[in-house]
Amino acid sequence: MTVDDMSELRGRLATLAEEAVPTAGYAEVRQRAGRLRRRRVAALASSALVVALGIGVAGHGALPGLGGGNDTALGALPAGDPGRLASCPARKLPLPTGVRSVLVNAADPTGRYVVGDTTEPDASGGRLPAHPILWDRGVPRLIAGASGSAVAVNSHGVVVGENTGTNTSLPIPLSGSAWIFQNGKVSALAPPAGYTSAFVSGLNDGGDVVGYVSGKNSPLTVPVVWKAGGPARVLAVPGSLDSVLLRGIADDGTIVGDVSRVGGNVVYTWDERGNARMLPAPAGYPGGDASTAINGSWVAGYARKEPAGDQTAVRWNLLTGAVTAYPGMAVFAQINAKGVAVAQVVGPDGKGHEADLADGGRVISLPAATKGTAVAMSVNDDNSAVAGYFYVHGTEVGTPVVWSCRD
Amino acid sequence: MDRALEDEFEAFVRGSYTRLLRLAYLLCGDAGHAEDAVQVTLAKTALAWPRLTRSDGVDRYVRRALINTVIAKRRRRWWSETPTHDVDHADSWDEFGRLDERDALRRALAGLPARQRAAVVLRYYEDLSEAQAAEVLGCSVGNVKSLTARGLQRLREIHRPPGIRELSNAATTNAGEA
Repeated sequence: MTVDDMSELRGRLATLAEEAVPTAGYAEVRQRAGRLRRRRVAALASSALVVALGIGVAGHGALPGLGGGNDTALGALPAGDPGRLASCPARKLPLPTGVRSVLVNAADPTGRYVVGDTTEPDASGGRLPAHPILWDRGVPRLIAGASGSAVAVNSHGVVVGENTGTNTSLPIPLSGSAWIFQNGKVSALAPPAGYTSAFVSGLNDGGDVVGYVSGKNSPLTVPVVWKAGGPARVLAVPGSLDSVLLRGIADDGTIVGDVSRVGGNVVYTWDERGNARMLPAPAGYPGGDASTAINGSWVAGYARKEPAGDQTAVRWNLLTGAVTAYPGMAVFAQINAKGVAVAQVVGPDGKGHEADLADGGRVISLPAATKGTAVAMSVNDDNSAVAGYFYVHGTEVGTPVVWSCRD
Repeated sequence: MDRALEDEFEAFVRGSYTRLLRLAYLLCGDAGHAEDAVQVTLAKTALAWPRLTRSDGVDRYVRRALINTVIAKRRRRWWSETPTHDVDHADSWDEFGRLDERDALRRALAGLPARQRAAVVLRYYEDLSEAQAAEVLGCSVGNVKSLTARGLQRLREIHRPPGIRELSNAATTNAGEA
């Protein structure tokens, strides 16, 4: 190889390496998205990459769609049909006094409670420490005594969250503390002895919490369960695994999480007795899969054709064993008890550009944001409301919204 | 870690995260896995931080930890890259020519055994000398020379037709090579 070849190789390696770095606009959202970043960083970074490479799938393939603002849908569709949401306007949730910018993270299965956290700039252009917010029937309150992000909420208004400080430069924070808010009080979700940091990812209606811990002698994450009111218990994982991230816990105690193992990451569920079950990858997507949520007998997540390749949102039915891929959608953020999933669609600019629901073989586009990007986070179990936020790039302001046709 | 060391480490993480992400991506070829590998590396670095006082020592440690993380994962087949697609359709797709050049290089790198790939990336992306690369890889300078030479030779074969067939073969045999 000649000197010129070497110089060319250097240049090409430098160009290729840039693919690892998210676009500036997308990095903004990631830096401000707290736990969302951790929950979906791999998925969204990959989908941004896919789009950047021009190999992403635009639109929704063969899936029939219901367009946003379709004014015939509401009258024609029965109550409980998620298609009605295509015609339901987004309404702003009020902000607590003094708060200007908020990201919504989750809502409970009834839609009564919504949680999120503040994302406010400080004087030097950084971010002020996040503060968790709970809306009860649309009325906001700052959760006193807790700091950081509210991660999940159940139908009793119990909230779990975590504080990982203001260092947002890492996709997974190095240290953090987890908390639970119930009966009007905040208390710590402590890690087991020997661990120093705790993080949460899911909560069920009975108050059981899943998450993971790390510590001085265990820099890798260790999966844990806090049964309602109890101390943290380390979850036994199959085989000699080096990394497990738990993603959610259903009301019957079934836990879902992602396991690194031979052949790529795979999704596992654990039943109440700790029996592990590997979920199958969808046909044509052997490049690894990951989960984002569990609800009843449904698990939502994503899978890849190959490790650096195309990606699809995926829905697993734990009762029938059916696994469905949704090419054109990168990842599902959440799924309700009827199997309706909330999707994020990443546009050619690397930013999410619309909020969609997947209902079986049908795609429902929610009415778009009047300004900025619409991000849907949670659809309630009776398909009557979706919680999320509008995010304006540049001003970096997040506005909490609910799409609902209810008064 | 005391407060001053924590601040120092946080400053280091802020300053080096993107650089490490780029390096990890070249070493493993997947953005998601690169983030995971950097995370594991930084966790290891946090534990070692109190004894990593001089900046050259930090760089050496972090590079070494990252490469060991990526190579160890590859040996265990944590993930497998499967560069099975045709790599020479760039010429017929002019508007995306540059994109496909990148794609071809990515796939060619994926066909290299892990240590050959690391040697090439350290020498021609990180611009390390043979001696520095030897230190990071934990081998002799002679070994670096031969890893680099074999890596470049293979890249040359893979990167151009008719090397496509060899690329596919390489993908199925690269896991155990040292």
